[in-house]
Amino acid sequence: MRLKWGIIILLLILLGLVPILNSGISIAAQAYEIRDLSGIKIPDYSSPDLFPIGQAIEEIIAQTKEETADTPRNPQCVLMKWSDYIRYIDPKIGLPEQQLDRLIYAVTVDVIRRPWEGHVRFPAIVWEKIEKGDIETIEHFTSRQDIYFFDAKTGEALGFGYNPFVIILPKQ
Amino acid sequence: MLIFPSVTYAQHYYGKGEIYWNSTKHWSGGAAIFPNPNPDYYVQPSIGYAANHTLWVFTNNSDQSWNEVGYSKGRNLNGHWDTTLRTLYYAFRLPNGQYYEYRSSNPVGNPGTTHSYKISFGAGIWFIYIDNILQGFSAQPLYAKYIQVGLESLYYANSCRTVYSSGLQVNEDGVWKGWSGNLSRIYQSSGYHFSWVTPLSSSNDWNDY
Repeated sequence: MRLKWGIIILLLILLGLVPILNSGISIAAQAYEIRDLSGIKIPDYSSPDLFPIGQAIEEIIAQTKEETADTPRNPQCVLMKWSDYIRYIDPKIGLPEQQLDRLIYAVTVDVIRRPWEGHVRFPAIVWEKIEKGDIETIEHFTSRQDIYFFDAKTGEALGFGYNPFVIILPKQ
Repeated sequence: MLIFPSVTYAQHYYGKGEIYWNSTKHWSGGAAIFPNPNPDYYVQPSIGYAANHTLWVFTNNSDQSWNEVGYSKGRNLNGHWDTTLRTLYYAFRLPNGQYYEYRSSNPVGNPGTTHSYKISFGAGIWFIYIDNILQGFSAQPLYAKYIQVGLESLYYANSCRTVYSSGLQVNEDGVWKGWSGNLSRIYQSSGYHFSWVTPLSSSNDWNDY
């Protein structure tokens, strides 16, 4: 009788672990920073010849759903110049002067990406730690927001990035 | 081995070499010359698959942040993943955890076209160059503890033909010099190969597929 109950309890424990392992939440998500830049007003650069970016945003969300255990949410988009981006959003990066006037769409999607769910080109020394399950490294390389950059005239994809925090983009 | 619990996941396969130090050296740059793969890589046509040949220069005396520049096949294009898209690219991984990757506007050229790649530090900024043309820069602390060059692939069976790297340089105490005389190691996933041709001066790497 005791053995029977023991087996039942063990089965219940194992069955309870299945959805946790499948959900991608076996590593606790840490608190993260929210950078609210909505008080900043970007000049209105809109013109009739801009690339319609809506379809690309829908495709990004669809692809992200395929790639991540988390559900992508809160897509944001703002039209700006590279110089606005560097000035208001990320002063730690820079581009050659001749590119600073280029009009871009900055698109963000909030989603938790574990290191194996993204497209970071990892140096081997880092990937080895992730493969071994080093929790600190996995957490350090987990991002909370995707960001994509498109040329606003042609729609050409210029780049992408992952933020460990969530940015609320400036307004137009 | 970690069992990845996500919907889909990317594995990484390497054929690359590295120099590093254990007793502090003041490394503030790295450089390499290599041709576009010829014949070109064949990347399996599936979302997220890519292969790249890259120079990585780390920052902040750590293995958590870096600058990178190189050749890549397989990229997000307007929401679609395109495994036939060939680009030159550069990227930063900042100490605060941000990662940004950009497509270079430099023409990638045909298979076999050779490009020079350089990452160097000045006035608090790391600068990234392709063929001596500035691509972008990031504010990150000194110094580089690791510099790597070689092949990275996101699918084991991507067909990655041999790429020959040459002119491997490190900037130490403000002077450009060869990689020789430093500690080194190689990373080889199953089926992937890296070898020094001239020890720490030139190398090649490939995948058997």
